[in-house]
Amino acid sequence: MVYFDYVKPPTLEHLLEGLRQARFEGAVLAGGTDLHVKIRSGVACPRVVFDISDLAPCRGIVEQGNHLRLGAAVRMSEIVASAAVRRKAPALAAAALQMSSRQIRNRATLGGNIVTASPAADAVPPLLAADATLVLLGADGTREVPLAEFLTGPGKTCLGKSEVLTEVVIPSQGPGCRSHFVKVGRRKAQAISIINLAGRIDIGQDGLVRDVGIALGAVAPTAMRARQAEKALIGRAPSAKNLAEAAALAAEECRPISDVRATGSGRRLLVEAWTLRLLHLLCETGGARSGGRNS
Amino acid sequence: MTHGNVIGKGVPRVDARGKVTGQTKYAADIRLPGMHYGKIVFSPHPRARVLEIDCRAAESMPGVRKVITARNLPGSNRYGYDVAHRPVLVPEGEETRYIGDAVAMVVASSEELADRAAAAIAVRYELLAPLTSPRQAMEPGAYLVHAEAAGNRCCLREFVHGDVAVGFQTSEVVVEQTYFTPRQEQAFLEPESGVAYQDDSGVLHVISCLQDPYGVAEDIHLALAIPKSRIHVKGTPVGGGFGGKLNTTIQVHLAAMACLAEVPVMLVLDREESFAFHPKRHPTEIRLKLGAGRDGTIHALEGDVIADAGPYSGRSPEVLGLTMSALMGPYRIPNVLTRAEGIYTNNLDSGAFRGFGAPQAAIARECLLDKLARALAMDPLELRRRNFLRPGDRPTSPMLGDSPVSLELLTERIVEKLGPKPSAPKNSTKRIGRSICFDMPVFDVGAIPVLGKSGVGAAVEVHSDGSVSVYAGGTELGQGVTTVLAQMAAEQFGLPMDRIRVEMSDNWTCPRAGRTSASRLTFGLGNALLLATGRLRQTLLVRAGKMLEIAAEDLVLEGSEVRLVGVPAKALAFAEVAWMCSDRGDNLREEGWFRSAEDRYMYGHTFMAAAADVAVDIATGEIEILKLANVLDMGRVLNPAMAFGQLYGGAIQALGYGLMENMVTVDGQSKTPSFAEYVIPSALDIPEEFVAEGVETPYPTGPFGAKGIGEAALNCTTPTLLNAIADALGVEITAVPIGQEHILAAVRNQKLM
Ligand SMILES: Cc1cc2nc3c(=O)[nH]c(=O)nc-3n(C[C@H](O)[C@H](O)[C@H](O)COP(=O)(O)OP(=O)(O)OC[C@H]3O[C@@H](n4cnc5c(N)ncnc54)[C@H](O)[C@@H]3O)c2cc1C
Repeated sequence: MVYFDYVKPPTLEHLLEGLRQARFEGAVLAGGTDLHVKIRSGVACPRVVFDISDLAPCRGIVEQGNHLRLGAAVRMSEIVASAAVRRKAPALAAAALQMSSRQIRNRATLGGNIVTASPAADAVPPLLAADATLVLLGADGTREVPLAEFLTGPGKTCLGKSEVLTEVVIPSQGPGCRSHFVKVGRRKAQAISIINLAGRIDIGQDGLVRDVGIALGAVAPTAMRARQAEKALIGRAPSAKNLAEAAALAAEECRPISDVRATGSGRRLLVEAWTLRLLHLLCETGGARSGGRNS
Repeated sequence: MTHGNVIGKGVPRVDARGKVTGQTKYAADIRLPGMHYGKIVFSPHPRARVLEIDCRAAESMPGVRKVITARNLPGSNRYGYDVAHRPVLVPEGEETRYIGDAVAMVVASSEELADRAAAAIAVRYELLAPLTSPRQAMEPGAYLVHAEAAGNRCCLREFVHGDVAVGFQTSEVVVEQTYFTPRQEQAFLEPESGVAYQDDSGVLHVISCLQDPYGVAEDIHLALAIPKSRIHVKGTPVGGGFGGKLNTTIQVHLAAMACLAEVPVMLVLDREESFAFHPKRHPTEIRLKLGAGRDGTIHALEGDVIADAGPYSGRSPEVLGLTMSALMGPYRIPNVLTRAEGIYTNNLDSGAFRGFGAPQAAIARECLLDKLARALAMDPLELRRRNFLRPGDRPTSPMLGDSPVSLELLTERIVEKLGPKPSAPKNSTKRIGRSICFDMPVFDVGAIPVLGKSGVGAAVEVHSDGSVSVYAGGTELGQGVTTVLAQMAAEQFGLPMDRIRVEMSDNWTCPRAGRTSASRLTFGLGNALLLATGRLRQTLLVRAGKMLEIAAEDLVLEGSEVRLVGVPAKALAFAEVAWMCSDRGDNLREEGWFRSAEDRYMYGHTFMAAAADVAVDIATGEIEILKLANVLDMGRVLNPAMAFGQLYGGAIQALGYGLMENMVTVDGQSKTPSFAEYVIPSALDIPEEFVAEGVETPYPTGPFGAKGIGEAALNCTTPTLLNAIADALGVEITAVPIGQEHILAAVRNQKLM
């Protein structure tokens, strides 16, 4: 067991000041569903935690033009319930719904999922496929960083010690754009993903792929874009043959490890099979099944 | 015997209200005045020499009442079922054998202080290379986990029947395969926990969740040299055991803490400690060979089981004895040679788990039978039926028994339950598979030679107000034994359920009843209870006869009265008769002692059939269980609601065993140390169509004709799922658990896409 102080800062300024004073011994607590696990196992040992779960500037879901801005402390259950997310980022809504259990979804936040930087984090592939950016606030003001650059390794990010993530911005998607998310777990609820993936596709009037984003989780040190697979599709027709070719490329370019959940080669098989299924879903059904198996 | 009043009815569990409202007191809910908290320091290394244990820092911390190492312990410091070779605390100079070995303990005034003090105990280790696989441990020259166990052999069980050489010679088709089964965790919700204190008369009281109060008392006596007359062990309602609490868990440690700290102590393991500490289902490698004639008649079976026994003997010899015996299943096989070997390693410990070695055997046997069916181009159900034991046959097993063989009846019922085989939608990547498998799970009927202490006692007392107390030494694990015993007593006395109180799991107040395992309580305790109630009924009827001036033979106990048969008006209230018995000095407390004849090494057999329909998507590897069914011959169903609960629960554990569960170790360290990594089925994984059915062929020696059913449903459900998947794909499955990626690999290898 570990013992620490608990602070609930009323404003972002108080939070930053608190973090500064705590130096390297402070931690941000959002839902706590990762932080408490880390504290219990000794991976994290903060002297003081700062609870941001009710901090107003981190709490909203706002449509700004065609952009979607989500506060870092928005909970997964709020994402599931948000009509704006279901409309603008259905893959993210699907990921939030398939994550864990209702109890965890009521606590777990989007920001926590990103900052934890687990290669298997479920909300990350949909954001990565959608080219999301993050708003970071530090003593020197804010900076905006693409999610792809933010994640630097398993459990590693470019977040400064006294910086916080305040917002996630999903850029506007083309009107014909579809997105979808797939989670492969060992059971139907409450399972850490063996692999997860998200796709976004924009097919032009000519029937050719105009733009595509494929993001794979749990098959590399960080969630990754399957750039080769994407390249192979752009400007081409989404035929069964082309989709199969892209899926094979995705399996080739991922770099899975073997762990207790699956072997590396098993993961590669899953990536190929599910990328193909994902692409078919995107092209045939319009994707965006925001349904899931969880309840 | 008149019955049917409460027997056979789904009466509510007697413990339902307390459990549903949260009022039931589990061990960790107990609070005693002056209670302190214990913490065990476990070895972080599977194999290391303990060089030095420095307790000075911990001892000087505030609130710390006592720090304990092997030096402080009275007695032998050894305990354990089968061989008492497990140290309570590993002493300086000796080696640890797995990550569940304890090296020191603290007792402090709060949990927090106990935690901090435990962390302050500095142990210096010399790290040594652990043995992490049975194959490696069997190699000549391998270091010995126990100096006296050559070749690291924990046990070897062999069974010979007929002549396999001849059997294979006369076979026209021979199939052989090696199967690998994983280590399965019981995954009970309530961790090992308890409180202990020594009272002013020097009696040690241990109140804890356990499956065998007498075994625990034995171990405390062995390890700490406390006379048995001064050890009181009381079991609390158990939040799941499944075999994981069958051996002594933390009770010896707890007893030592209470005696040495001289205060009441509570000890509760956390999840990681619990997972690391208790024995699990043996991982096995099973080579099995079957020979048959062209017509499908089996001529010979040869099987070789190598199991990881972990660091200590415990239940391994018994469990592997059952694995060896269960390889034949409910089939006639004239020539058999099976052996099962348990090998010591520094991995997690192996021991009892619902099914007790039989589920591993069922996987190998039923999967190989399907392979034989394919080799013969024969319907797998037809192959099985040709080889079924027939009424009057003796089992092809050292575990003989006299349960009526009802395999054809089970077949009829399960085929009916299955209905027509579903078909996959057109142009779909889904493939449909079906399987039906059989088994004959055993239960203890009181004459198991290897267990020795199989006699079962139960005491029944009729109070002077006509209420009844039953004292039964078995343990309520959630299986419902308390309710079943109350039903039996209510039936015997013609009383409503609420007039019966059942006290269980106490080595002082209850007659010796042995362990709660081997699906034995309904049968054993039930029979003991019937003996006791039989004598009490006689006492009551004789007394009532005198009061009414009627012969006792003409009286019956029903409707809370003693009545003259056929003349309901001629009756006395049960309570009035009880009061008169008490007043006149009749003995109103009887003890029944049940034990099968010593020379009949008999088992009960609960014949079962399991069936599954699955849809497997060859594009993604997804497995969907369309229907899962099992049908058991339960002899007599005493309480349908609870009996079917057992069947469903067992099937779900079997599903987890086949499709997701595996407690993985690498270098002796657990890679699945908690429920975050160790995955068991969730409510959403339960098949849409999930059927459990009973047939009733009364078991002549069972109470009201009942059999033991607690473990049975787990047995052949796993291979049924595997065979259904194999049937869908036309592939062979030889290792579990099997997941989507394994399906994809099989599809690729077979070029099914
Ligand atoms: C039982 C269980 C099941 C789970 N199942 C899943 C699952 O299916 N899929 C999945 O992806 N995850 C799962 N998780 C992991 C976890 O729930 C998610 O990652 C969740 O989104 C984390 O959010 P949180 O708000 O709880 O984070 P916290 O635990 O509060 O924080 C996580 C980390 O991020 C830091 N942090 C949080 N917010 C900020 C911020 N705004 N700025 C800077 N740093 C910040 C914290 O300091 C901490 O280091 C599960 C966890 C548990 C306990």
